This record gives sequence, C-alpha cells and structure tokens, in this order.
Amino acid sequence: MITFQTVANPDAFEVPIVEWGALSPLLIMALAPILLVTVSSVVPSFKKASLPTVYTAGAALLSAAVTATLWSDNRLLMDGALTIDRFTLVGWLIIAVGVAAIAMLLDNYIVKQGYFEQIIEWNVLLMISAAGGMIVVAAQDLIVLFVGIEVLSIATYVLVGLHLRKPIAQEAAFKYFILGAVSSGVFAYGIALVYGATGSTYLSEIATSGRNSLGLNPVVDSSLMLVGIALMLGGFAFKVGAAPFHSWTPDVYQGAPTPITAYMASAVKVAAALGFARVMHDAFGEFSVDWQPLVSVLAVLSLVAGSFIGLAQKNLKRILAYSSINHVGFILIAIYALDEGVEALLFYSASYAFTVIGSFGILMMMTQTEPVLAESDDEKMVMIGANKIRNLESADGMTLDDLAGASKRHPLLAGLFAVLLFSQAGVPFTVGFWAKLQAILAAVSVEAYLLAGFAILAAVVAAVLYLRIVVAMYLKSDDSEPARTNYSKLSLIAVVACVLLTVGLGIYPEPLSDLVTNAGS
Amino acid sequence: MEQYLPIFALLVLAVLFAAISFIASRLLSPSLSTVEKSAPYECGIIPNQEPSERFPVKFYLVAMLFVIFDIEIIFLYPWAVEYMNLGAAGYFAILLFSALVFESFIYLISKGALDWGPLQLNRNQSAIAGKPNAFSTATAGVRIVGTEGRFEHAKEVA
Repeated sequence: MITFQTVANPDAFEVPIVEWGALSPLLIMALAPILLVTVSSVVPSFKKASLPTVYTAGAALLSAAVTATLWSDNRLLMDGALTIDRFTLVGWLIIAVGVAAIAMLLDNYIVKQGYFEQIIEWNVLLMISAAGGMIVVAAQDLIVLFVGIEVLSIATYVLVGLHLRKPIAQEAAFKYFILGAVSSGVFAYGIALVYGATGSTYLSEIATSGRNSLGLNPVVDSSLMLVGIALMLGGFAFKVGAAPFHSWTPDVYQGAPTPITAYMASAVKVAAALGFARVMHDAFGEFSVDWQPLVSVLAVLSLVAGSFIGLAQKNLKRILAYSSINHVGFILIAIYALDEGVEALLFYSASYAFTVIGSFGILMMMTQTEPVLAESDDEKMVMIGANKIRNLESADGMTLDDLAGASKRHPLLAGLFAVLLFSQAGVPFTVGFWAKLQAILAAVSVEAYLLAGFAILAAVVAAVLYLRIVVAMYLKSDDSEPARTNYSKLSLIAVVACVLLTVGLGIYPEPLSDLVTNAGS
Repeated sequence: MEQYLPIFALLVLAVLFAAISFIASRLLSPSLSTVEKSAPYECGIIPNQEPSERFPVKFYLVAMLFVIFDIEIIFLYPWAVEYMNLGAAGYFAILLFSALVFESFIYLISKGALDWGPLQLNRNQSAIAGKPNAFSTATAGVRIVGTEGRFEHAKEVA
C-alpha cells in the first residue's frame, strides 16, 4: 500500500490546480496523436486510407469547437504558467482549424507519394506539433514558452524530412534542423539573461520587477536585460522567418512536402508570431522604446526582401515562400504598434493562415495528375513506377513557365488559386485587403508613418508578384486539354473552404473583426 | 563577479586536466607498434577485405529503444530523490510520464524493432492487402532500394 506524507512539510511541493476544462483544447490536440499511434500500433487494420485523416481533422475540429465554448474566459492557468484570454483563444482556433485543413490536404497525398505505410506518422507528428504551437500561444512563462517552441519545431523538422525518397526534402529538413537548433540556442540564452536581470521567468513578473534578487534595477542597470531582449528577438525572428533571419525559408519551403509547407507557412508561423507578440508586449512593454526600432527594421527588411527578391524567383514554391516573408513584415508592423496593433495582428494572422493553406494546397493538387496510360500490362508497370518518381519532384520544380495553360488544364483550381492570390495581394473584396488595411492603420495610429509608407509600397510591389502567377495561368495559353483530376475530395473541400472564407470575409469582415476585438485587454 | 570565481577555476582545471592527460600519454607511453598489432583481430586469420561499413538499419531501432529507457531513468532518478516532497501529484505525474514512455515502446514493437530476421519481412507483406508492389520500398524490403522505378529493373521484375 502506498502512503503519502500528509504532515505539513516546509519543503513539500505545492501542487498547482489543474484547470482541465480550460486546458481541454490543448489536451485534445496533445492526447489525440498519442491515442492514434497507440491504437494503430495495436490494431494494424486502423491504417486504412482516409481514416487517419478523418480522425486528425475530427480531433482538430473538436479542439476548435471546445476553444469556441471557452470564449469569454480570461484567467491564468496552471499556477500562472499558461494564460487563457481572447488572444490565446484566437490563436488556438487558427491552429486547430489549420491542422484540420492540412490533414485534409495530406489525405491521399501520402498514398500518392507511396507513403501509405507511414500515414499514421504524418498525422501524429502534425498534431503533436500543433499542440506545441498551442502552448506557445498560451505561454505566460518563458520556460513553458521554450518547451512549446521545441515541441512545435522538432515535430516540424521530422515532417519536413518525412518524404524519405526526395533528396531535396532531406536537405531542407537538415537545413531547418541545424538553423532551428541554433536559433533555439540563441533564444534560450536570451531567456537566461532576462532571468539573470529580473530573477523571474514569468512574463508578468518580468514586467513589474522593479528590483531583482541581486539588488539591480533592471530598468536602470538594463544592459543585461537589453542583451537578453535582443537575443530573444533574434530567436523569434528566425522562427517567424523575418528578414534578415529569413534565408532558410525559401529552401525549406521548396523542399518540404507541399502540405507540410502549407502547415509551416500557416500554423507554425502564426504560433511563433503570437508568442513573439505576447512576450514583447507583456514582458518587455517597459522596454518598448528599445525594441520597437529593432522590430520596425525587421518589418521593413521583411517587406522589402519578400517582395523584391520574390520578383526575381521563377520557382512557384519559392515565390510563395518569399510572399510569406512579405506577410511577416505586415505581422511585425502589427506587433510594433503594441496595444493598437493587437487586433490587426490577430486579424492578419487568421486571414493569412487560411489564404496560404489554400494557395499551397492548390499547388499540390495541380501537380497530382493522372499517370500517363500505357499500352501493354508490362509497360503499365513501368509507367506507374516512372510516373511515381516524376510526381515526387513535380510540385517542387514547378516554375512560372510550367503554369502556362493551367487555366485550361485545371479550370477550377486555377480560378480558386487566382482568388487566393488576389487576397494575398490585398485586392478589395478579399479578406487580404482588410488585413493589410488594419496593419497599416495600426502603424498610422502609433504615428509610424514611415513604416506605413513602406508597407504600402511593398504591397504594391508584392501585388506584381501575385499577378505574374495569375498572368502565367490565364494569359500564356497553350493548347492544353483539361487534365484528369487526381486529388482527394477532402483536399478539394479544404481548399474550397479557404476560398469561401477569403471571399466571404472580404465582403463581410465583421465576424472576424468581432472575433478579435478586445483581445488586447 | 566573485561568486563566479569557482566556476572559472573549475573551467581552467578541466581544460588543464584534459590537456595534461593528452600530452602525458604521448610522452610517457612506449610506442612499440607493429603491423600485427594494428591489424583487426579475426581469430588468427589474416583479414583479406575491409569490414563492411553499412550495417542494418534495425540497429538504429534498438538504439532508439535504449534512448527511450535512458530518458525515463533520467527523469525517474530525480523524482525518486524528491519522492517524499512531491507527494501524490508527483507520483501521478511520473506515472503519466511512464505511460507515455511505454507508449513509444508499443509503437517501436509494432514497427518491428524486436523482430529480427525473415519474420519481419513476412509480417509486413501479409499486412498489406493484395499483391506487394515491386515499386514500393516500404513493402518489398531493402533489396530493391536504388533501382526503384528504373526502366531496366522494372522490366526485369515484370
């Protein structure tokens, strides 16, 4: 019989109260993959086509639904380690819905690429990574934040490299892993210095620590604190892919399996950006005079690098990668604007996430074409084998020239793609327009006119980036026949949902702006 | 900065110890190397080929098994030291942790980490409905890695 000590003990560990109800969206996202991997290990027949996809999408949507029921909650959880407020909940919602969409894009992709045996691993790692992202969004303590970032990143490194027979994916995974590990190290060093300067890892205590245990005043003797902030800023800038910490982005986005690229560009980036904003606002609000110039430089560089270098690219996945760097510039502007920018930040993150998921999803679906039919049975075997190999590389190697005639080959997909590209460019009547407008208005409201000007200029240049793709699809026609579609219905549902959201919220943005109001308080 | 002096002293001592050990073993050890001594021992037979550099990937699964239980020990040990103070919460937390570790063990077994030899190949193939495809490495084993999808090979198989 086990007996526990009940006598009052001065050293006894004080057990934090676990708020199961408020934590349930996170717990669903974290426990669903463990259940999936256990069940599929014990019962191999669970590994049926689309069943893991339906399970993953269902778990993610359940997590999103539970998040929605917590809507008016605003409190600290787990002894102050996590916080649940509108900001957290919007982040959780974006991540959970994003994971559902990515799982639907992954459906059939895995089988088509010849990875049916690993179908469980793809879905499990996706959910584990998303659980890490949810921790990052909710973290109120730097150590918890770091754990969240690591869970988020490590699962993503593996996902990038899961395409075992594609050398470019292996290269991308290795690059991402090495650079990600270095940036995590930089980030952890920043945490250590901030802890040294203030004596706490809690964001709220860092913000209010007038005098720390060493007798130093972090506001007066701030050199340690400032170096810590700078290092953490560098770590976050890497994770969100802001210039000049962006150089991994095009290579990794190009090499990764396309649905995973969509995941990295949406949920991973949004989680990192929201964590970034929370740390900067809640912990280092006192030092905003010191870090705001750095963030504005990062924002301008991202805007310029994303749009101008993107123009020089031929490869479609690289173009979209640079466009995501450009979007990071707008997100950073919203972070720069402090409290004025919180709503813009959430609005931009949400609209950006489903626009980019749809864009990469369509890119993936366009390249999943039917194998060329062969005459004899013998030749059929050869053709299927050869075509599998060709299919592996087709999405990664797709250039603007390959898009010529896409409007005839894939009329539906080309139309949906054009809408999403217009939204990314910020054309009115799409949600991208409101998102960009809100970010620029946030910059104006804190009187950062130069930043707002840069944002407008970069938006114009980036519009050329997106219009080039549309022009390639519609105006450079050749005599293509409509190609036979070869993608899963679930993928199409996910992409159409993204497009409907883009247009619907573009015409009537109130639901989303209601969602993000009062998130700053 | 005084409180950091012991750390600095330790650093210097560690570097010195490593450096002195290296140099001393160079200077002090007798060097009587012969061809026979530096050759790999193979039961007295003179080796006539290089040992193979590739070894089966299943060793990595065993290595992963070791790492999993190693990590469990790393966390169990500090828990055992602080067992009385952590109380019921600590007990159930470590129980949950052990369950998660055990879960990864189940996964590895289902992946065939403990099935050696021809058994694993048979089991994998019987798990797949229908005829195994000559083009998928996942089902056909290690033999055709590298030749997959190549025209000549596919003709040969067909």
